[in-house]
Amino acid sequence: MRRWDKLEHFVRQHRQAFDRAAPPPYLWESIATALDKKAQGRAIVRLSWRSVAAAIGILLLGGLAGVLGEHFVVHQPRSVVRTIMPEFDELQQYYLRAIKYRLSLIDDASLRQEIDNDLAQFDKIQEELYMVLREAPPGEYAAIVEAMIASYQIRLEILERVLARLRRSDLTHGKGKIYEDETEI
Amino acid sequence: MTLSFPSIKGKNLDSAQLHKDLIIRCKQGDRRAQYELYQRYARAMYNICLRMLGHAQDAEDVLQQSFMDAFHRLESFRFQSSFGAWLKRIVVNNCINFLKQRRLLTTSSDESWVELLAIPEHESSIEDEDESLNLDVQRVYEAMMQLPEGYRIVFNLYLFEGYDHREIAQILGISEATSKSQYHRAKRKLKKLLQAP
Repeated sequence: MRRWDKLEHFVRQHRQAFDRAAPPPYLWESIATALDKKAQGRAIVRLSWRSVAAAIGILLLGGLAGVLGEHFVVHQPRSVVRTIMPEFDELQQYYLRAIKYRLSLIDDASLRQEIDNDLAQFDKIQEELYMVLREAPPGEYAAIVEAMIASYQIRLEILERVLARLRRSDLTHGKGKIYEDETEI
Repeated sequence: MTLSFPSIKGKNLDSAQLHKDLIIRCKQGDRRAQYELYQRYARAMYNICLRMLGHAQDAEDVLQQSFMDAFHRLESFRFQSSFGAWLKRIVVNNCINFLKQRRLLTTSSDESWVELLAIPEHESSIEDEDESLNLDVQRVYEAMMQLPEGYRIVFNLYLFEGYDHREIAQILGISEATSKSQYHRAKRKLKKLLQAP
């Protein structure tokens, strides 16, 4: 008969708690963009056998070509974001680093879990915003990109409030030099 | 208890049907359905990658590749197993391939890479003193990340992902006996790390 093992038992009992990390919010966007590229590639291969007929059709219906083009545009949200706000990637990296750094200062496991859950909701919102952008009319692009940046700003603000509260209750275990040097982020 | 049973059963059936519908929509290339499926599984799969690879950036790359592979191969998914198990196998295989490729860059040895990556323990190294183990999730996770790669992989596949030694042997291209011995060595090493003050 197999011997009871404390370590195995512990891992099996707490299995879910080991799935603590969440994938970064931009990951879905990368997957979606790659899928779009593949889909476009497949469409080109599928259409190639009738390319001559299609070319003739476009020549005959020259006036319609522009209209069709507009309908078949596949929005690439990441490039749309870069067009609307060229510094977006840089800003996003800044906020992600800043958030990661502030999270590393929180030692309390239950508080950390609570914050991770809240931040996961923001990640969801961010991914939803990318989905919305994919289908949005150009007039709404700027507002959506601003909402993306705002979601990072709110996350950072929440973390700063939590850290301020922790500092007041002296729970940060001597990490009092937070924010003194932003280059540490 | 008996009164609640039919509704629970019904709910499970609904959930299974919804899940099946979601996969069918994904097969049709529905991007929103693909996103929903990603949302359901990304966290669990990302954590598998993290435990297997040990680095967030590598985990992101392999997770992205795995979802791409899954969406492209979805046509071949026939609902004979659960989607989660099917996807997990893709993720695990991609992690293994990633590690093998990385290993190829640093060694030309023909030895089994899993055995190569494990550090042999002296047989008399440590008793299984379970009572003195100080266990919490954070400590176990951190100790696991200190294991040699070969140990960590077998330990993960067996204890976290629920594969048996026959399956692990098949996944890693090693013998079942090697899988068992690597697992026991990994566990012993981990316990040693967890006993340290």
